[in-house]
Amino acid sequence: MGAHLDIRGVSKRFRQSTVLDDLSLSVGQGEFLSLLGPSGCGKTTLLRILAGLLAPDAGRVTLAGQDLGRLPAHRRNVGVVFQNYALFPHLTVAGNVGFGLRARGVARAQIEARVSELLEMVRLAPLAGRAITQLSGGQQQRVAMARALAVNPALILLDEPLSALDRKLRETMQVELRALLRQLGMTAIFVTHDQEEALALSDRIAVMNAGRIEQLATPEDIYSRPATPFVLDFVGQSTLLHGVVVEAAEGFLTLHTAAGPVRAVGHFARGARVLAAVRPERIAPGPASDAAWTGITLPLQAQTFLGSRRLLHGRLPAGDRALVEVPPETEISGDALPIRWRVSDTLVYPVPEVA
Amino acid sequence: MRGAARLPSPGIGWLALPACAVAALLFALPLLLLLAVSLHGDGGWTLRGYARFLGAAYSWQVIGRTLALAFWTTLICLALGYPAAFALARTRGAVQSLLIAALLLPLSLSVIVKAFGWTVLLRGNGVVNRLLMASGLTDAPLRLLFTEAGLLIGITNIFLPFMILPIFTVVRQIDPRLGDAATTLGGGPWHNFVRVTLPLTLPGVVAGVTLVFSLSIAAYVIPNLLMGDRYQTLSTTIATAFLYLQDPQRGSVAGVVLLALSLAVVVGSAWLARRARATP
Repeated sequence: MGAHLDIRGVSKRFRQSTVLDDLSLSVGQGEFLSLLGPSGCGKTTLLRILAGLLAPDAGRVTLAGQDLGRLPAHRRNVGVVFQNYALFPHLTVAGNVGFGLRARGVARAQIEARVSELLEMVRLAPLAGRAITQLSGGQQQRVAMARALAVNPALILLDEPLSALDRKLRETMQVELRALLRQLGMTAIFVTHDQEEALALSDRIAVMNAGRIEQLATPEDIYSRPATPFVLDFVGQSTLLHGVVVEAAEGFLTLHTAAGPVRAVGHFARGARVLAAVRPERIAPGPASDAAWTGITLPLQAQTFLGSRRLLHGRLPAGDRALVEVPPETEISGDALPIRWRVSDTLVYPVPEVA
Repeated sequence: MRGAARLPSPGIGWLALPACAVAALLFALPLLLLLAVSLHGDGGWTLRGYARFLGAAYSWQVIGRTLALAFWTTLICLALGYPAAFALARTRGAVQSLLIAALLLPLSLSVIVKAFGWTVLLRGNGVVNRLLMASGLTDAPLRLLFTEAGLLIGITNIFLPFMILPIFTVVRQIDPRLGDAATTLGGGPWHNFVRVTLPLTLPGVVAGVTLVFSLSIAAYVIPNLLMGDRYQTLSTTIATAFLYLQDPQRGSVAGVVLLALSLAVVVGSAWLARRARATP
């Protein structure tokens, strides 16, 4: 399948700092891809380059086979939903939604038809004549979506479009937004620093760090098979144990950690310093019974009740941490708890030698 | 603004009382007196003062000249001030503070001093003419002082800050992402200017136009110093009537006419602007 959007070797520098470093990425037709990363990782810069609001120093962007490099922003047919919506305060709801059509010189009757079609789609039809300032945050967000979609763009860019909403509304809007874009078969790039949002919405996630893509994969893979310690740390929580490989044979490792020996799958040399990680829900209370399991005895420090589950925190040396998820009704007594997980659930990363 | 705290005291309006009292005593009362004097003559109320003033062709010349001066001054200030306000809004930090200071500082100087300054600059062997000749643009000194061109140069220079500052205040508040949004929606630069920037800056334009128009329609010192006595506007007519002709009725009539004209233009332009904004 040919890529709908193809980004090749894009770089951008601001003065001394490299914001985007030779970044390449392909997005398929109708795909919903999230750019996930901390602030300053370059995700918003990449978005602005795609929209044509910023020129890259190097690299090529093609959309539906057309080189975007030659096209100014207003000829690109790329829709953008801005973080605080950037709605026109002097226009009504309908005036905002119809803005792009009017800019393209579409006939008045057609504009009216298309505007009501879109307002219907985002369930704002009764508010067409309202002023923007009379709308709630969620309604403004829907106007911003309708405005960007009205011109039927080849690509829609969403710059943290839900971050200004409170948690409950955000979750409702996530579902709504995803359903709307899927219904239209719209190719979307969604910029966010909220990992839960990215996991919930995306077909694929590109986790970005320091101007590069650390990992590009499905939400499931990003979560259960993070490619780097950065992705592991940025997406989800985990138990972290620093250790040294003391035994390596036939793809199986035994690590020596502060909490005791831990087994894992992987290829490392004996004596290598590694970081072992386990996702909290992979861990269960109880001793490792056979060769498929590994475990430690965890000195308990605290527990947090979260309604649907209970989190146990272990007391470990600085740099290590232990996080176990158990059902909420679990009774925990004593100050140490044997825990276990599957050997194949131990994630192992090399630890760079500290200079 | 939603969520803003409601003011607790219902009597908060009384705080405006001192200001209202001062305005009533020093502003409204003299205006009423002026109106009374304009309508008073031969021991009774009469419109004869108005008939006399408005019946003379010369008065209409003066009114026309006054309106033309205010119109051209406002137009030139708008043409120069509108882009200048955008440039000023684009600067940052110390540069912006410095430019604003440069704009405000001349306001602390009396209009008389500035007008005198322009007479020095514009005269035959003044700086302007010497620069023009040194640059080879002209061979002989141009006559600038006591010409309408010279007057417009001086008056626009003096009133320009009153155009730039209100527009600047509005431009600074416009979210720069609105321009980005308009561009990504397919709007070219001209379309976005007409559909987004212009309507959003209109309140600042109305404020600037109102200020400069009111100031220039009533300007007295500047035309007097840069044009001399032959050039009569409504304000110089008022002064002449009171000071030389000892004709308070004529002066009051001219005063009321001036007030009515500037009110009509100011209120009219604000109304037009509101209408332009209301049509999407």
